[in-house]
Amino acid sequence: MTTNAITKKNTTTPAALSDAFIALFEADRKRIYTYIYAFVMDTDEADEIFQETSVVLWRDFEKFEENTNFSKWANGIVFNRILSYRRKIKKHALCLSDDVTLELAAKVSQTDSTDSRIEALQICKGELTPTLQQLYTEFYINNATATEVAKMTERSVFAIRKSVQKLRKKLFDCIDRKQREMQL
Amino acid sequence: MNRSDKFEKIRNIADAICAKEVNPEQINNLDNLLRGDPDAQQFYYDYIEMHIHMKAEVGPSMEVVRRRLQVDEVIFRPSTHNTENPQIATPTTTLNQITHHSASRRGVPIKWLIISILLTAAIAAVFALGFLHNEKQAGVAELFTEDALRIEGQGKIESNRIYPGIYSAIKPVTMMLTSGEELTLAKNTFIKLYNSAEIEIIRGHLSVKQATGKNLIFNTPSFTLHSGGEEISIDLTKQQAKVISSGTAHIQPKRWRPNHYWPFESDSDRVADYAGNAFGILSTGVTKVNGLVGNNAFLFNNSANARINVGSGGGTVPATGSFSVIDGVTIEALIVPHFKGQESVTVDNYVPEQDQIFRKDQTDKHHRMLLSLKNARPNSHIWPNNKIKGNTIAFGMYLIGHGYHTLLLPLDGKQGRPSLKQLKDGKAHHVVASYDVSTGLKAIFVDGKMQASYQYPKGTKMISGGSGMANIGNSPNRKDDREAYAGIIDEVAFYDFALPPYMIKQHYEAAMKGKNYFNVNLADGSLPLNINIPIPENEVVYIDSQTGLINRTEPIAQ
Repeated sequence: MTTNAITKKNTTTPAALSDAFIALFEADRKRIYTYIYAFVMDTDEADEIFQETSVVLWRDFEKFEENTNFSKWANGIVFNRILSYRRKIKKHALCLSDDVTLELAAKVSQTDSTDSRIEALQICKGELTPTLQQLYTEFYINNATATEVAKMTERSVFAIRKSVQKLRKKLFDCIDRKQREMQL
Repeated sequence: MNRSDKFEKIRNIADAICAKEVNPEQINNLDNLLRGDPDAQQFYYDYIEMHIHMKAEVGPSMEVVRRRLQVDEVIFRPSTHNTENPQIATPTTTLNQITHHSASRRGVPIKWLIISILLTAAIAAVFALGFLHNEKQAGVAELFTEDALRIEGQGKIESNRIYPGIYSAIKPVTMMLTSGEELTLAKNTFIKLYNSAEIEIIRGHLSVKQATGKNLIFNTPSFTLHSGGEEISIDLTKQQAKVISSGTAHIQPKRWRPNHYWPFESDSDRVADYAGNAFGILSTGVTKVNGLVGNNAFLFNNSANARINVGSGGGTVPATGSFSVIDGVTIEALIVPHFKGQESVTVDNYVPEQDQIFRKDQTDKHHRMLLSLKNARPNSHIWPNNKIKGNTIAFGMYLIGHGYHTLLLPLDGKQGRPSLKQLKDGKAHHVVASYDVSTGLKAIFVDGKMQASYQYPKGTKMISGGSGMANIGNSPNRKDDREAYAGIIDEVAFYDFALPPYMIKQHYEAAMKGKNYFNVNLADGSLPLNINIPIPENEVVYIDSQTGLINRTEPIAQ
């Protein structure tokens, strides 16, 4: 979780209020999406909850107290949206049980390493081999599917999926390593 | 053991989630693996978080836009109290809302689309009614030169009275506005008359004499000028607009805001960006001190942790993000350097001291952009003079067709250049690096004066932006202290255009008076949308056509 505690500044005017919200929301956008995605595990559903949640966050922004942590405040609202979405989609099969969902939410609320992990990710990207950098660009930047990358590189889809898994593992290990180095 | 190996089963399921191929059985397994195991839960969340942050775009295609609507609505309805005087209600509503444009399956709510169309139509109707209403009045000026104006758009000339509309001068024209000022248009001048106080000049040359003290507003493609009730001359016949004012005129340029501005005045735990969204993260080698301007500045302790990370600006690949520029660039800061200019030569390596004031990196490093203090040695990147040795101010950036080039300003005290000793006198110094694509001029300014420059072919484009981080006070690609800044930095600004020399001098002079560059109130945490720049009195003022900012001035006699 980020320690995003930018104040609402002088939010006495509607323009200042919306400016403050946009600044805080944009800075926290990916983190909020991660939070939703980790629980619902489905892109379409995460997109829908994200969209609804952003409206609710703006609607309730007047209740956000100045000089407090926006991320924590947003997490409370986002989690309620996730729970209400789960209740609404009763046939929803692909989700964690209620107790594990609560455990995970509690754990995430204590997480405070997002910023340093993102920073480490940028450095680790620079340490990838040219082949993995190319894969990263195609898969994550150009948004190509495994099938498309397979066609481009004349490899099998299975091989591309394995390579992407290897790419993620390499980056994850690198981020963990950088984190350990920073703690030394 | 790596966490990714320790939690291999969770990783495999997370990979399936990332690939959108997870099945119910895997979710059940994940549930069991996460249950009661905080480390496993942390691993799962970190893995998903990394996957999301690797993606260039996440979530629905949606942007957050502040739309502020000022709506005048005109309603005609029968009055129950006075049937002879139909009541006209003109309520004014200010709406302030966040609008979400989405391409998801739910889409944009149709009602907002309809409301937007209706509001636009209402505004257009109000303008049209206003225009028609004005036409019924006595016109906006009286023409002194007959058969000199041609109606180019909606307009009317009747008994030498000119009504709102679009006109061109087929020969020099003089007219008197209803408020008494004499307005002269040169041949081929093209104007849009809104009313007797507001005129748009599309091209040509216009002057106002016999000023009455009433403020007149002149709109041009790159700036809006307020006459301040004084005589004024506006010449748009050349590439640079030329303005002469006899009094208190000011302009509002169309483009003046930096992409990012960190005046270091925020009390939050982030370094607030007063112009954009690049909020900075402080590292431990940076401490708050009294401001060179305003209340706060930051002292950088020359260590590996002497840095403020202001992010990538949202860039993913080169030429994306808010640090990506098209028309040019300006990097501006106030500094009190403690740079020693030391050389440390080891047996197999020469390590020059370099203190980064600002550096935006790319993972491949070629598209980096930096402003630093540097102990230089001959290097193929240095251009034009790659023989320069010693302490310098360095401005590096990537130009298409040339590659990465660094312009150096030797701090040798020769030919009017500052020496390092002068720069280290303990006072604040204003350093600016700029590159203008249209002119091809790359330059370094110190304390308001251009001290080093190089002329590239006009139109030479640059590449910047991308996924690398930008740091104030260090190199984002270095985790050691080799490029760490020592000293104080304040008022850092990044623009996507070249600030004209006149404005750089103005910024310097404002800073020396203890004001921010723009001489505006920053109490609400952001730069305003418009600023007023006074026009120097009785001087020929040249205005940059791209930005609407003052480029230079000269005495009228010239």
